[in-house]
Amino acid sequence: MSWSRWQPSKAQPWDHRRITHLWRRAGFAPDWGMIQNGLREGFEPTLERVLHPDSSTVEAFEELSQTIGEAAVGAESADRLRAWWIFRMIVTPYPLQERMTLLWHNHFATSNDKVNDIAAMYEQNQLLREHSLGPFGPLLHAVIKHPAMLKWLDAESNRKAHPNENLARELLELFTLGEGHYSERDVTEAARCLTGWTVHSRKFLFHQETHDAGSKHLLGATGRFNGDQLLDLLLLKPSTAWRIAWRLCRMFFGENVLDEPEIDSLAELLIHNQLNVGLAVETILRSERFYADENIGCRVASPAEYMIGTVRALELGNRPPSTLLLAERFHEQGQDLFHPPTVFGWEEGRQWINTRTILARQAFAHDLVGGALYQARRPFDTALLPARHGFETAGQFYSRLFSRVRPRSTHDGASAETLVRLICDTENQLV
Amino acid sequence: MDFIDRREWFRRSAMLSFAGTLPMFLRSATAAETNGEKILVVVELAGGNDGLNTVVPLNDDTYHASRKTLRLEDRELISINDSVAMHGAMRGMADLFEQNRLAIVQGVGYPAPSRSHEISASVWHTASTDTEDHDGYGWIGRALDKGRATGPTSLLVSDRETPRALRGRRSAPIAVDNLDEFRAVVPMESAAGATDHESNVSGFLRQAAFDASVTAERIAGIAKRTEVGELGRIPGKFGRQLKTISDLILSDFGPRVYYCMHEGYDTHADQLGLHASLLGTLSRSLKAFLDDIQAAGLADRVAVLCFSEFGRQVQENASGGTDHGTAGPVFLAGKNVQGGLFGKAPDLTRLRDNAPDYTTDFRAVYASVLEDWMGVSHESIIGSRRERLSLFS
Repeated sequence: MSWSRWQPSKAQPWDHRRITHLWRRAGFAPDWGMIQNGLREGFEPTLERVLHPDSSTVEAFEELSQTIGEAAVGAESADRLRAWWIFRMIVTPYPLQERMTLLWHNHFATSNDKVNDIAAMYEQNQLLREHSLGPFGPLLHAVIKHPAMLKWLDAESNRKAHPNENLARELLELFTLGEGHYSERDVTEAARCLTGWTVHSRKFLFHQETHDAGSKHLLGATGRFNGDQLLDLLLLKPSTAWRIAWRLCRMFFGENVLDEPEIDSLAELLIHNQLNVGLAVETILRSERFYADENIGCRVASPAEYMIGTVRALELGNRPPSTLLLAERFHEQGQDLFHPPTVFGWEEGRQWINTRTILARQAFAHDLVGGALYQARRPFDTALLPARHGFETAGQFYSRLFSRVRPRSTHDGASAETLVRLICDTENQLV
Repeated sequence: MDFIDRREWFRRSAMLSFAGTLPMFLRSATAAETNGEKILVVVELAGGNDGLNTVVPLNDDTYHASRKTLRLEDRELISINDSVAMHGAMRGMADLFEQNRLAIVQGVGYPAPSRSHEISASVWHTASTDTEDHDGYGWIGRALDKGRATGPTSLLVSDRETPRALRGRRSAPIAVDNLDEFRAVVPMESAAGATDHESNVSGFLRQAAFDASVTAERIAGIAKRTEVGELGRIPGKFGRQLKTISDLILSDFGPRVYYCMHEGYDTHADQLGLHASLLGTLSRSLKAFLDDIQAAGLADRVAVLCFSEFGRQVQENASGGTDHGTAGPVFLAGKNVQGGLFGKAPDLTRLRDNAPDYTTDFRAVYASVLEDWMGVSHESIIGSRRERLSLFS
């Protein structure tokens, strides 16, 4: 059984490297205190912190977040909406939830470029978060029937007399079954099931007159299916479970670490547990495969993982850089939040990297340390953290912080140049 | 003093050794894939260009009578043949025409034209007159969807929102405002250890970082080049954007389509001087751009398509301007373009609401660009078979 549980051992100890690995994959890069906590508390309590952070801390955070989010919506500002999510990522006591929200934002890739409605994008984002670690069914129903998605994929022009297959196609190919698991005829029939779905006063509305109530035949089933019944039909298909398993494995595993049978077996687990995503995630985070040497530090960090991880590792949560300026850096690095490039979302992995994005990643490191990411320039005090954590040289501290391997010896004092280099370094571009 | 001076740091990095590995200028599309690909540069004349004062009928009574303040006299024109002339400000494009590097397609439009900027631009962008299609993907995006799936496929040089034309199901444009985004601020040491980047992620990253610094250096060098100066001397945003496009093409950056906008053509008032200045900038910039490309030996790979969402009415209005109209000229420029005059001039004696009917459907132009330049079947992109012009040699 490929998802057998991992136990720390002499060969695979619970150490600095694996603590960092867990936080980077299932959250963002840890700061020094989190690494020390992990060492002191051990594996189980640390995993518990990842999965179930203290609820009163989360509540306080949510209250603050809501104020900022609603202000962004009130201002109808896409910039402030991006900034709100970045604020969440930097400050949240529950990083796994933000990472899962990013995952679903990519799965149900919807762009405000077309939706053009800040409130709808905000609501969709909250739906993704609320259902991020629950069963997939309620998530699918909530997101597909939300005005942001209906507008994004032209649901309103899909009427009995004027079918539009856009939503049906993406629903089958991208949101559930995946390519190769349906026919063109299935797309046409699915579009018929979805007729009559519209938006009225910014809410979902089923419009009986434009709904095609006739009998449909798709995916081996026949009936007078409506949209909800279509979704339920799709949720029962094993290929839907497989696609979710694949999505999760892409987040939690590096290139070529897993084989198809292992994804199959995770899909099985999902099928037997009402597609419960949270359970699958926990299974992964307890597994031998997850902590295996070949799975450590072998995924290209997304711009979010790279930048937010760096900001959090440097303990900047209390005086974070301008989230509006950071939003621009997300854009330059190819991850413009709420604006995925296409309905396929971001391709991730090596596709994050090209000449322009590499230079933008370097510029981020340079400007974070130099202070240019603050509205009023505020250079990073490189001496502060090493002193706080009892290190003699800054070079030693930062290379320990940003590297999973024992660093080459560094004789540097508090050199900003060294820190910039460490942030840009391959070790910190990998999670 | 900055804590680290960007320029100084980069200067120091230039002394580092790049020995051993060859840069791959594109990470996600290999050099072999992009090498020799045709490049299309699209220039959108935003606002609705007054085609009638751009490609001007000679000895035409209606033109004469309808354009009291805006009519251009013979001495203000550059004649192409006995019946048609170009606006006198368009010296550069007239030169291109004489050198057989410019095709002018007259009277380009579509049936039942809309005079709304938004709707008509959407028609051109999606290649569909059905407004139900206007939320869908653009004609260029759809064409690029058929090509290679990796690497940047189109690039928008603009501070405006992405034009629908570029939006594909799979292919998405990247937007660049200026070349500062390609400046290196951190020097790279070497690509050592990057040899097995196919299988090894950290090797891949090291190689990518190395490539990026080399590309940045190349772009910096190209941007500063002095030997071809005309394009760099053109004032204003449009000249700067074409210069950026030229720099990126010369750096072999990768996209197959570049897109930019020349704004200000919505000339409802005091059009005469304004329009002359717009056409002057357009013409001078296009000529300088193509000369730049030619000097770099890339003339065979680059063509420019220049369109506007509609032309303007024949009768000028009371403010010395013109209101929204219908068909207008489309330009195609480049070494491989079949130079000359195409299509029929619009018939000014038969106007509908003060504007002429189109004589060439814009999809006949797209069909040629798609088939003869981008190598894609036009039928699959436009949705129907079109008689296509032969705009390339």
